[in-house]
Amino acid sequence: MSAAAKTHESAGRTGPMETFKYDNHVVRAFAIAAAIWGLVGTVAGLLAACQLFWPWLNLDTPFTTFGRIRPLHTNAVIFAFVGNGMFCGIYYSLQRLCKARMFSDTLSWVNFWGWQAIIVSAAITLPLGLTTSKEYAELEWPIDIAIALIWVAFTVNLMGTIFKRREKHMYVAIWFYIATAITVAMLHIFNSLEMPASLFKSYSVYAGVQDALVQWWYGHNAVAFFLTTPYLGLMYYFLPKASGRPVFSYRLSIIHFWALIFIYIWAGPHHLLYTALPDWAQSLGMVFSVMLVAPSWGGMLNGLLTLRGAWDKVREEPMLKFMVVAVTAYGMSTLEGPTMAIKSVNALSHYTDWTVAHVHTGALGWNGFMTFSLLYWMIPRLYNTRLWSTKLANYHFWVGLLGMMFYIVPIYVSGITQGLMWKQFNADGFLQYPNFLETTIRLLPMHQLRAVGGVLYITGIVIMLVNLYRTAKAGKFIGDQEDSAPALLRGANQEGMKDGHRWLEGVPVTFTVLAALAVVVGGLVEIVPLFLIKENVPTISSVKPYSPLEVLGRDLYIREGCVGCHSQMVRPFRSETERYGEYSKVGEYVYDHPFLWGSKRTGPDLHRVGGKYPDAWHYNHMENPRNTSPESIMPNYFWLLSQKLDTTVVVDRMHALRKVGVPYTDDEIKGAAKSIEAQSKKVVANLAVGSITNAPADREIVALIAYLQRLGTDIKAMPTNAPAAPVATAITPARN
Amino acid sequence: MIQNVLRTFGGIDVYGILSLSLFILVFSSAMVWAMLLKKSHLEAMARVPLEDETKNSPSKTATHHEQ
Repeated sequence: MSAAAKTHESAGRTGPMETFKYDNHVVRAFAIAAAIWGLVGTVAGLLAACQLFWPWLNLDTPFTTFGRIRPLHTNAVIFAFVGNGMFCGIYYSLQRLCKARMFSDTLSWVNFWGWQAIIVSAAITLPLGLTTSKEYAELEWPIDIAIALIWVAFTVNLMGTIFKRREKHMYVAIWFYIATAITVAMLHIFNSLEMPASLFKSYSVYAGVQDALVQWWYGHNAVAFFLTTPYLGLMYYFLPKASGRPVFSYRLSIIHFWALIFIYIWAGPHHLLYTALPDWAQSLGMVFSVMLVAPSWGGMLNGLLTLRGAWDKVREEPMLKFMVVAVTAYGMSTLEGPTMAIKSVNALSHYTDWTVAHVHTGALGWNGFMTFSLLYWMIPRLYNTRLWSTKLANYHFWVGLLGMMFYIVPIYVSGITQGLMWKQFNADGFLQYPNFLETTIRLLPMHQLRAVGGVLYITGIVIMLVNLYRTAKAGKFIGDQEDSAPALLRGANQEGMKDGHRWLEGVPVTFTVLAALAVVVGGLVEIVPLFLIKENVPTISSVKPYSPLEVLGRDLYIREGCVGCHSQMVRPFRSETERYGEYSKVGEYVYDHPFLWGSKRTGPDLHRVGGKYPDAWHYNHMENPRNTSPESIMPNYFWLLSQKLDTTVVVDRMHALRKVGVPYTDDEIKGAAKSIEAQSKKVVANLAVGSITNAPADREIVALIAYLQRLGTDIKAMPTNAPAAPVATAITPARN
Repeated sequence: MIQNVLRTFGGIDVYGILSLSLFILVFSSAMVWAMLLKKSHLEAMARVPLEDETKNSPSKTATHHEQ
């Protein structure tokens, strides 16, 4: 009896043989999209990287400044490149693992064209400055709704295909696909809850620390369930196929799956260590992050050990080379991530280039190389031919690997240098590098080397595109690939709960419910207390809502993507309080919809910038940062000086903010125009003191200055005998 | 928005214990589930991806057009 027949017998298949066709059309479409968006996303990344040492590459237009290009790059890589790669791999493997065509061809194409439309709308809106500013969730509310609808189409198609499968038990790859579908939906919906103020402007329903926690619960788990779990599923399918060997341990894959999806969701707060997040939430995030090493490495080892006895194939098959590096990069990232989640390490690494290096190990190594591997494997098969050039694929591998090294190593050096310079004190107890700019300039050679790495990596992608195009030209596309399998007789299921996981693998609904429970529990434990318990968000009586002009100024700060380079969170370290001033308190952010804490300091923190410089300094600085800070790498923002401030939107915006909890009174909203006029006059008067006598009061710069001068100043109005926010006692005191 | 329903957060220790207990429960359940599975099922399932080659599929990815 053949192995296949034995399997069928053990799986309980007894129905008549049926013939059916796999849909390769949609797989090909996603493959082409992944390849093209991969090039676009990485080129946008290269542009952003070069802007950091050649500021003229910001091109002196609002649409091409670093603050707008960076989210374009991250969205293009995550959702366009990896998203299409993920759909491509899932649509290919799911049909074959289920021995069934996709549930609905219509839904497949809705998924494909809907996803591309979302990507194009992102490529248009982000350079226009239409952004929520929340990382990896920058798209505005109409696009958020479209994402939810397209994701539902994908999920229905996925589950429908699973329901009509001819293979009784769901293979481990399918479990990861199910976890991806349900968790991404949950994360996207809860993080995108926002109050529209107009067609392309909204405010997060959460404020300050709550918004930060929800955002990083989303951000962290987008990494987990968009960039990791679907690709683990693909690893479990394509690695055995390419090596011709079954997965090393199916038992281990069960433990890997359940432990991974359960633990991942708890670890989000590690993005907010030493911030104003309550200490209990920080500790919870740190402990679960460290625990996450176990399932992650279990999965990595399961992948690598699948190649035992087949390493000779790695020499011959370029796709296996890519996959081995991808899985190794996964192992490196998932050891490094928990290491960075340890508070003492995070104290150094956070806000530095170290984080950038970490995410690029994952993006370039794990997601990038895995996607290349799949494309090299699938395209020849879709075209019933062989790869046009193995030699070129090998060139791609080595150029890509070299590119990755040139990217990652200098940026690690840059990140550690940056962190150490920020914290360095001299023998007299003063900051060694009190001028932030000095630390930025020191990193430029590393940034230049990083760009060389980017060029090499992109060269590899171009080589791949040529190779795959020639492969397709040489073959004949099989749009509908015929296969046959015995029908699955529904009534023949004799398994029950006593059969444990074997039973669970045959009941997709129960499986999905349990997987959903596993991911929901962590989220609930982490987030609910922060919303229900007053003690966690202590209010500070002197903290007041922003004035109408400051609201508009804050919206400009969001539009220009300032949060991409400037944090608004002074951590409780002496090195930070010396440099910036009083450390940030959770109660200072209760009116911040959305929070703007940031995740990277290319420029200095701005939470205490209010009152630090005269208004005229900001005016000159925005016109050309080199006016006030020679050698600064910040883009020019001279259009803020000439563009008229749109004050007609302020009433709608204040209404929207009131709906999410900012206590504006009717009078304050009615009197917004007068308030703007009065505050603008004050700014203009201040500018005149600084020898800027021709500044009109109705320009955008006036609103931005009003907002910047307000930042972090409310706390100074506190009565001297008033106690600080209670949570301050829970934060570890300054150490260095 | 529902906010500030509870006034204080007593017994924070319970949180850590609850989290750890939940994790141990899930992890050990997965271990037990995995250990109880029969070898024949495990072997059959592990081979599932290897059985979907159709007659149209080329046996190797690589070719040498250069040759």
